[in-house]
Amino acid sequence: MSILTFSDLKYTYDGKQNVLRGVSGQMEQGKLYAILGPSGCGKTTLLSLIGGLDSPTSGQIYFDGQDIAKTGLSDHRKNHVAFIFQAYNLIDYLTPAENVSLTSKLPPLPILERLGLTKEEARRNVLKLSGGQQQRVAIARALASEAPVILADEPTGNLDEDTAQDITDILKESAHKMNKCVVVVTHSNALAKQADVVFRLKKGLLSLE
Amino acid sequence: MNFLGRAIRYCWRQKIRSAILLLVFTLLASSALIALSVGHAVAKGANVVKQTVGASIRIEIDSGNSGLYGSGAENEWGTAYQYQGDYITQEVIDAIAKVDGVVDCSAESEGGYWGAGVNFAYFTGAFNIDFTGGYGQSVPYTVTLNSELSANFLNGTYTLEEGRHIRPDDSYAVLISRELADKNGLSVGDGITMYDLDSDSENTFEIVGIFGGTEGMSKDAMMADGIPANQGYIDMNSYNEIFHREAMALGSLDVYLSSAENIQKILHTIQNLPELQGKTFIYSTDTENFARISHPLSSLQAMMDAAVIGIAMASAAIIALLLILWTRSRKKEAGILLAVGRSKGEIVLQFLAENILLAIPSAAASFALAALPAEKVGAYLVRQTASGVTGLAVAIHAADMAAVYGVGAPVLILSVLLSAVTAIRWKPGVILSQMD
Repeated sequence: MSILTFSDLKYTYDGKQNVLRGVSGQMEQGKLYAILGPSGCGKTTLLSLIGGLDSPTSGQIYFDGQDIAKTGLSDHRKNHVAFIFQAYNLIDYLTPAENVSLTSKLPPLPILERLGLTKEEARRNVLKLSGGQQQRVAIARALASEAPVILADEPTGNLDEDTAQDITDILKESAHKMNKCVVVVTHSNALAKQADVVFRLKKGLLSLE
Repeated sequence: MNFLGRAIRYCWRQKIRSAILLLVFTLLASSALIALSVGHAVAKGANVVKQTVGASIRIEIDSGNSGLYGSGAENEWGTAYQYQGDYITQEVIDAIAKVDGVVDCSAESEGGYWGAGVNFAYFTGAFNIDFTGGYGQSVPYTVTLNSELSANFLNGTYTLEEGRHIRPDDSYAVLISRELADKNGLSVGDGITMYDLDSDSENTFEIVGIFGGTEGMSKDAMMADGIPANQGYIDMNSYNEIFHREAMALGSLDVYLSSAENIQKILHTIQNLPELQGKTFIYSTDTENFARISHPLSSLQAMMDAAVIGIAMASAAIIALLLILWTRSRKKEAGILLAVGRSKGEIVLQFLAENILLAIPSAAASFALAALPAEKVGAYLVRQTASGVTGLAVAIHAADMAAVYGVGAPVLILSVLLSAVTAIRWKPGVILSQMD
């Protein structure tokens, strides 16, 4: 059963450019979805819309059958989705452990250790960590939230091949073992090949591969 | 982690920003506290001046009216004319003293008594010419009903340091300067004997008070009578007795009023008193002392009021500007917090909590920082603008603190709200895409 459904999503940028021209799709828990497409095709916009970071010009997004525009975008962001950004988007005056605590009341260290950070690293300033470590913190923050949907925007875009594969493995594990609906926007064919479902976004329209 | 936890961590870890804000809050609050406390002290001082100086009405006998001198009497030098008009009597003084708005009455005659020291010595001038036939040089004394109302005491030139002032019921009382007392080893309660050439008599006066203020005044006079430290005050009763006046008969009387505003009304009331009706007196009003003392105070108070308003406005502008600049740089953080489901209200609360966390120690620091300078700044400003005023006590009161922090808190809250708008008015998607 699909947890996330979106239908006929349109998004007009600056009132002129039609970034999305009627995008529809369904997503289920326990699967890793990849959305492929060239730069500027609207992948990040689509992710923002289904994550409640922005509102579509027209069209509906349903979480578990409920229209998120009616239940509230803030509530959707707080309870249903968790984000992993290409630029990590960690709060720079907080430690990794404190960044993880933003989304969960559970102790942050176990999940950070599970993602490969030491206790000492978990208490450092986030800006003193490597890119890969910062992305692991961002993933830990998303997983700790216990949201059923994880939305990842180019999560491996800034990482070397080995680290990118580690992150991909974590995302796959999140989908398959933690029963999350993981949606990844990516350029990476390597990552897309490991996804359960691959969508391609082209000229503002979404299609299954 | 809630907003308070984040606020505490932000303040602690962004040390430079916190230190700058702490300093700005402290300096602004201190400046406002100083201005407000000086303003209040000046207002209080002005009130005291109004109560003690107010204004005065001078009542004089009409000695210039030739019609009051009769036809004259012949003597060995020619025709002598004697003033035959009315004098100011005790009955007149008593009636005036009961008029509403009259604070006090005083009469004085500068140099009304000239005394040569019999059992004490004056500071000497360049020339020591003895006109008293062996008693040494004579020095002028102001004969007064009430020395407290004498101009030199009112304007702060002289200050009573020991003992008390001369009062209307005193007899053979004298006020001498601290310098003359020290020179002769005299103190309150001691008696000094003076010789007066006009009455050809030696008179002993009890020192009832010693005043300061002559220190630093010139002692390079030609004669001893020109040295302020030698001059003093004696009472009116002994003067009348020395000159064989049977009853109080004054040539002039100064009537001090509580307020300069009602001076014409009070004058009218006095002129219509039964005890004064038909008397040959001349009346004049004097608000000069009040104006001289109160005008600089009023100006200073206006200056302080303007300073308080200026500081409040500048504070609002500075704080708003600083917070807007800093909060704009936290747009991304706001976007992240919104993306993880935090509400805009919680983000504003965090910004507010950060500033309150800094404002609380600033409030304490500003009090400590302002307490000492307030008195010094107040004294300096009074010295610069109202040199005739002394004894103005500048202290920071709870009301000043309540006013500064009471106005400061809404200014801070408004500034935080204004600055927060710049960070949270967009949707998180827009904020984060702009940041990327």
